[in-house]
Amino acid sequence: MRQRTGIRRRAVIILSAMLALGQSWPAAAYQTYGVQVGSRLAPVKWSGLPVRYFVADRGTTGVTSSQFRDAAARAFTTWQNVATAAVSAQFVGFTLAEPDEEDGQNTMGFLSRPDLERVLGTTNYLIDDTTGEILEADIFFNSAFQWSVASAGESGKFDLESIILHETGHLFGLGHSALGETQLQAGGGRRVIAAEAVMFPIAFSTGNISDRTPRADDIAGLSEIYPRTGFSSSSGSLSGRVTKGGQGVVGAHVVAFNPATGALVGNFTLDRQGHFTISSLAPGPYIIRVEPLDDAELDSFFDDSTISEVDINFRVTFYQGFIVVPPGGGSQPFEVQVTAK
Amino acid sequence: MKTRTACVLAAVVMVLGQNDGASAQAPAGAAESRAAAPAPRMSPAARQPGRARSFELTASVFFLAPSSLGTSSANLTSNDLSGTAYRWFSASGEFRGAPGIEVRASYNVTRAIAVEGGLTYSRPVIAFTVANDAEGASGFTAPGETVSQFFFDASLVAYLSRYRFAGGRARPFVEVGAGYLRELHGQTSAASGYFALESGQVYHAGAGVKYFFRPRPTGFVKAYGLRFDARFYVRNGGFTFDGSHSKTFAAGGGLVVAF
Repeated sequence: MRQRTGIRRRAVIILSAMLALGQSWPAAAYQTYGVQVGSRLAPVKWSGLPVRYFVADRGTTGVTSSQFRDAAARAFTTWQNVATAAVSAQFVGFTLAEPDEEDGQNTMGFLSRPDLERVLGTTNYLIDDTTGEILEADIFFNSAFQWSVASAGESGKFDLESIILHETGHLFGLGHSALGETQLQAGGGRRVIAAEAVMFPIAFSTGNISDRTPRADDIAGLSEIYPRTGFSSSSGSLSGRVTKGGQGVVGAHVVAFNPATGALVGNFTLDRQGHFTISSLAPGPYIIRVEPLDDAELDSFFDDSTISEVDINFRVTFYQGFIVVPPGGGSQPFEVQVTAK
Repeated sequence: MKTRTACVLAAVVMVLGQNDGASAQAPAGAAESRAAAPAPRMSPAARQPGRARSFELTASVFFLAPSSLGTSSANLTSNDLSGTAYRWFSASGEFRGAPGIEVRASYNVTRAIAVEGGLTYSRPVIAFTVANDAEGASGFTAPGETVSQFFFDASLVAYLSRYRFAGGRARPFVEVGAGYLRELHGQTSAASGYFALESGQVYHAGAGVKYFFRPRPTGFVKAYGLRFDARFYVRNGGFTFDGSHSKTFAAGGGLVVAF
């Protein structure tokens, strides 16, 4: 029986190192990637835009390659329309290459991978680990699932444009967001109850087209990596620590809520001291909520070496005050003390 | 030119000093004559506060009552085909009650009607309450930040002459007004400046009473008195959690000087 829920995994080894302990990435307002270059972390990003991409000249049931191309174009346009970020992509043409070949070209298309029974799509990168520059990115979509390009979505089929938007978010360098609530299913896997980021690692159900629109968390991430002129001086950040019994908490999910706009932007504590930073925030007062990372598999966010240190045994906790984010700067550091469940 | 300037000045003095019922049509020559005269003594009626075409200044302290800033929900997008909101938690805000200061300049157009301009300043604290957390986190209320709030308003005041009391010295009035709302906030620390500016409109309606002591027989100041106000304010714009109008009461009193 076909799974109705799929986990979209980012592929890759080189990326998982970015979130290792002790490698706090201070410019992350969501999970972005970086590579250790000497003593610093270089962001994983394209050095030249537009990103030129090919589409595999192979459709799947209900979706032709031309329809795939059009859905991809809509997804890229959505990212390009983010007012505070400067990204662009260009369709080059159809190709007979597979979307998992290291061939110097960026290819996306369908592959049949029934063995990956919960994976809807995957983005693979080739990265220059001395600079963080993305050299190549391929995205495959698992044709073992039913796909739709219908404008209003289609019952029983995953919305291709939504999933392309997620995977092309990875292509630009975004990691996974934890802004979502899920419940475990009897047959295994998780069902999304609600989410507020296209980059949440578990897809909405079939027929749902809500993820065609980036949310505040996605926009903050993209704007952090590819800021438009003036964005850095008009946005701000907040930073602090999450502690439990005086010790730093690893892997806590910290969310900043702007009560005036309703925007939610999150990040994680990324070192043993429990430090976190949330950047690319509109100036203003924020309410801070800290929760354990228990709504998706930990390997959606951290590599194996880190997962063992992630602490999910604490209660959801709010910081009891506003944190004010100034434009072009950072908040006063603050500490959120959590307690064990 | 010098002559003309002198005439204008003299005419102003005439207007300020005239009696409510007296004619202001004094000959130009007479006006010059009175202006040149040292400290002319006027009839007691001419020095009564509240007469037509006279000015008053008021300095007051008051208290702004707490007011709701609305409720904002931290929503996730539900995994259903309607894409409805899933409330993760909610946050509501309020301005806590705060003292303030105010200065008002009034011009009595007639004995019954005055126009006023006012500047009101207060520093209310925004408090917020978190509730309804989807994962059961405890709700709480905490102070948020302090806002420097200014009202710049113009008002119309109507005196209720038939309800005078205290021998006619206490003059009740009602007032309505509108103006500009300016709020400064966003201090990252007590020592830092504000970086956020919110603006909007403020409307008010209220009532009060002015009580003047016995008029002074001479001098530029005609009388001193006390003024008490109670107002209902509606803010449109400014800092809110949900874009709604916020409403509040204010009451206070101060010293009023009649010229």
